[in-house]
Amino acid sequence: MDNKKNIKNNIDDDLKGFEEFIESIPTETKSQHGIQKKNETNFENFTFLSHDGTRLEKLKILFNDKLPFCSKFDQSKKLITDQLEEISILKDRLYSVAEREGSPYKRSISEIFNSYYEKK
Amino acid sequence: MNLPVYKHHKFTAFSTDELEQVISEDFNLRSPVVIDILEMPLEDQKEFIIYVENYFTKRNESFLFPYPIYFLSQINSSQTKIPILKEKKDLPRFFNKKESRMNVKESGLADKNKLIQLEIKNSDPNFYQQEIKNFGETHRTIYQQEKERVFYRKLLSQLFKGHQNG
Repeated sequence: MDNKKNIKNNIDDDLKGFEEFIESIPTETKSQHGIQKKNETNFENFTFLSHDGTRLEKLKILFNDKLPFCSKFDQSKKLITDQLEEISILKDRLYSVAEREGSPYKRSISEIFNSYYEKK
Repeated sequence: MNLPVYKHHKFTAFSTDELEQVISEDFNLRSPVVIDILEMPLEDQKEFIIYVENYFTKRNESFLFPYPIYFLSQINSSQTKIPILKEKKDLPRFFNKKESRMNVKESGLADKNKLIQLEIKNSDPNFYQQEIKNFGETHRTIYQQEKERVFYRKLLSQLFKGHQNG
């Protein structure tokens, strides 16, 4: 019996890597492939359903928790006014820096003017 | 119970009787729906889509959640809020699965999803659509202003650098 088993194992080892090229595949391997395929498809459905569940759960949280919370405690108006204030402060500072005597802005402007209008 | 894959309905002519046999309040509760009206005359297609859209808005139901309704039509999608596609291949691939029988484990999961589907259906679509729109608009403004603020800051720091370097 043991000898028979050994011979069978040896044949399987020898055929490794050549299964695709051999027409007659042993029945055992065929059934194994079948089982694997069946398991894969079932797993595919389960994954699909769990992904859909996650999608639905996220939608539920968005509609029932996040959006009501956003409408109750809306911070966007405050953010917009804060930003507008900072923008106006920055603009004032920019004007004051640009207006100074010998400021980089004035120098660049004078360079441009001089390059065009200076006497040659 | 079936998997939430596309359910196809084909209409070749605009008949309200035929449509009312198919359409119901739970039309898109369990699975996404594809309504193929490509073979319908172009004028009827527009009327048909508006009819379906009105059906949902009158009942304060959503045609997007829990599962979306897609139209296969030649009509321009800007004319309505319902998603319109030109061909079948443009449909989102997520729900493009083969319908098959579910085992016990999968049925359990589908049952769990059933409850969430109902919860989503029971939420007020008018409220959340308006809220999402407001949220988007304000955040677009915030983004633009932030860009402007960063630009002024960068300009100021460069001017100061230039001043220090002489």
